[in-house]
Amino acid sequence: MPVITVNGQQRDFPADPDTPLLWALREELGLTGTKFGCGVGACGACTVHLDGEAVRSCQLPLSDVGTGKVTTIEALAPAQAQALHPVQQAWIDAQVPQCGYCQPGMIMAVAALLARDPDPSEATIREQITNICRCGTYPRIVAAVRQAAAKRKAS
Amino acid sequence: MTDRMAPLVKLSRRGVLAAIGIGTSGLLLGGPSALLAATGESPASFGPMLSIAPDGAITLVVPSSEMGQGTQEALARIVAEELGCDFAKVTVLLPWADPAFANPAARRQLTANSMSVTGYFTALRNLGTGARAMLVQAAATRLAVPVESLSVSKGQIIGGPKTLSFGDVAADAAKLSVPVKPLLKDASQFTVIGGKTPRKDLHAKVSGTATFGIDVAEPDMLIAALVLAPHPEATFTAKGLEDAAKLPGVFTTAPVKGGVAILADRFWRAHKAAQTVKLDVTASPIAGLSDESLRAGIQAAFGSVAPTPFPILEPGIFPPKLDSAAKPKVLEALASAPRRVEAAYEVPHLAHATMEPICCSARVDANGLLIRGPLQDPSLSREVGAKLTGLPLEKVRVEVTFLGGGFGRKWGTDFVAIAIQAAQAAPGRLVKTVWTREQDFAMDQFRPAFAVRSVAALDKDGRPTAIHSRIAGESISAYHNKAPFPGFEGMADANAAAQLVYGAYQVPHKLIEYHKTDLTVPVGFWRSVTMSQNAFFAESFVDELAFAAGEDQLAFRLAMLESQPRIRAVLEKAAAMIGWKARKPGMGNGKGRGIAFSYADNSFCAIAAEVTVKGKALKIDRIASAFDCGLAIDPVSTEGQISGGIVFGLQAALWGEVHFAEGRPTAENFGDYRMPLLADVPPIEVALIPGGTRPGPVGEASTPVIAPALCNAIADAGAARIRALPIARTFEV
Repeated sequence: MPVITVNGQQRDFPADPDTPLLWALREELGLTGTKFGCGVGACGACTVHLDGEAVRSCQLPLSDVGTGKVTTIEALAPAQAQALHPVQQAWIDAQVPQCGYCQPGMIMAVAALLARDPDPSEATIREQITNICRCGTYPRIVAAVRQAAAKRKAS
Repeated sequence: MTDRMAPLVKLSRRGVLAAIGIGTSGLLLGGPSALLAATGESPASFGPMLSIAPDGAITLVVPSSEMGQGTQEALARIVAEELGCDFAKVTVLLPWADPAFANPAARRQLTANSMSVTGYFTALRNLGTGARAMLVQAAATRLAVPVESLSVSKGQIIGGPKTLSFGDVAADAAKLSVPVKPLLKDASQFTVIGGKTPRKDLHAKVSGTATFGIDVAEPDMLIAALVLAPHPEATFTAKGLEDAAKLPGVFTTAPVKGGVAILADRFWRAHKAAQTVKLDVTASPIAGLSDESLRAGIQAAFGSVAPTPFPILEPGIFPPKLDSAAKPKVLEALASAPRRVEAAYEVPHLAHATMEPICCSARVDANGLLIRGPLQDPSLSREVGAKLTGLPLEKVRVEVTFLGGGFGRKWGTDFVAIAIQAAQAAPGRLVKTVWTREQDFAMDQFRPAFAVRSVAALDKDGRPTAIHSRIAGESISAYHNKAPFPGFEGMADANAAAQLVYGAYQVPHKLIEYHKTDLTVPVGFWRSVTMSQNAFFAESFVDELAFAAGEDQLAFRLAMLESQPRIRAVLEKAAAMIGWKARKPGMGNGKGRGIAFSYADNSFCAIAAEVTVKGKALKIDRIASAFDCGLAIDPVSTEGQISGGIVFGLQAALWGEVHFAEGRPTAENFGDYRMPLLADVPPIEVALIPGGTRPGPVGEASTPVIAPALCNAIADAGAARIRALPIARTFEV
């Protein structure tokens, strides 16, 4: 039975080892903020952090997670703080979400980008964030990422 | 099953009411009593939607489904505005199916046709103002002062010897009788309506806590994965069911409409088991279908199917009228014209591809049937549930979750029926049926493919004197076995081509005819429905007429729109935003700009686009849109709907095309159905133009306009006119 560190806690996964991390998070731990969109790693709705890097969890079998630390949207903001993560707050301030289904994955992808590149250019944002949003919130996503980056810089 | 789907015709809302055979709802005109009728549930309950707690917390059940378009927020604002509460203290809940929640404009509870805000507007204002009057009356009694001496501010009742909060008097107020005459605020006093605060659902949506259909869960539930035939009406033999039933975690297998369901304790186990089952298809209505046979079938209909005329389908014209004199006049005008222009266009099938794949949960137990999921049509879902289980309607409870996109797909109830059938195989347990992305593509109810042949007469000055357009393609109504709407007998299916030739243009003679094409491809309602193809057909052809006349495309349009000040205003604004300068069309020399518009009752959207064309390479430089929906309840969301709707339409314009081969659609996943990513989306600028005190439809307004704006820009750049979508057939994009 795989034991995986999720959101800072070691968790046993009774699921079959070939189960994608996506489904184990959702069904074993009830962490449903991570979404199923395509099952082939194309859309990014299932994006989580593995040791801080954005990964598409529908493509990661439990047996391959190993000792990496998994963070999901539910724990992106530090638990003790009431505040949201700067990217989440920027998403509200710029009023990005419409249906909202893709946004947890989008936010996880952006948070990972800002962690390695705190002040990405617009071209970098457009090139690096490859998640699909069917509602077409892209124009506000660019604005929100820039806002989040500016806020990080200021703080 | 879907025969009670309400019609989707772009008429005036009054027209829609009459089209489905009902009068204007009492809710709309009869004051607040219908929504405020005491329920007996709670002393502080003001009807089924509104309750006020002693601490002033307000809970509002908003009757529409939230699929991203923002009507949960907009409807809540309408109530809060008239109620006079502190909007920050309002909690909004998603609805369940309840006749009390019916949209007065449809007399059904469904979220479609961009009619939530327009349909509920008056009823919800009445609810808010009625409850406010009751609260003020209760306060006046408590304080022993005249009602007139009191007023309301942010949930406080002021002006008396002491200030009372809504919470203080809610219990007393809820016992009062409902005022007969609502006193509505003047629009100039609105502060919640028109405000720019973020939507209430955003916090949950950025935190991952919003419950979508796919997130429905409870202990001991089962997950159903499906094996689906290539068509809902296909017949087949399922092979491997017994072995699949023995796989780890599998609870049982069950026949469902068009396939089988595998029920297991986990999705992955159900999914793996489903992949071991094969369906040997014995017959399918689309056996052998291919792109070539589809196209041939549509083109053949122009010759083999006698045309039926469309009624005049313009906002505000109801009942629909057939102008029997139109045809001879149009033909005569064409025959005698000094100049004729002809063109043929076509568009392919399109997929909805909601980010949340199709899913729905159901449980059958001693209490009856529970359906919980991402539903655009709770009313119809409830009826489907009653029919399938044999239960009376009151034993069927339907609860609506957030929808991870709808765009018309989740107006269908095919997936609801399948979820119920799966649940019937495990009585007492909640069963969540989850479609794969591949199934979501393969078993979509597509926007139908259409082809059009248009011919126009120009006078010696290049002014159009007659336009005759004929359209061929599958009828959505026919696929769903719907009878013609009352009043539409003998007329073509209005779902195929409302406004194929814009009535707004002052052209003396117009005729639209339909060659109904029987294809049996599953088709349905796709964001903006008829306009999704017809704005492209209509606005491309008018652009071609401007080219033929050698006139600036904007000036050519404006000359035919003298009586349409609001259309002129959005066109002129969009043109100004893109930096339009009048000149002869097609002279862009690689740099083109195009313009187009569409409209509905109290909703006008213009888009201007600028492109650079170099050989086969196309670059979209900028997109600008001007939009007038009268009163924008939530302007920031409205702007987001316009820009998001443009991106949605951009996908269709550039890449949207469902291919068919060997009797089934070939798109399996996003790799076969390209979606725009951040890198693909050009700068989009949106301007809202205020247009009065009545809200208009928003969600579908911009989606159909981007394709003609782009194709007109491409032609203006000097490249060949695009007459078949998607643009990727012609250009590298």
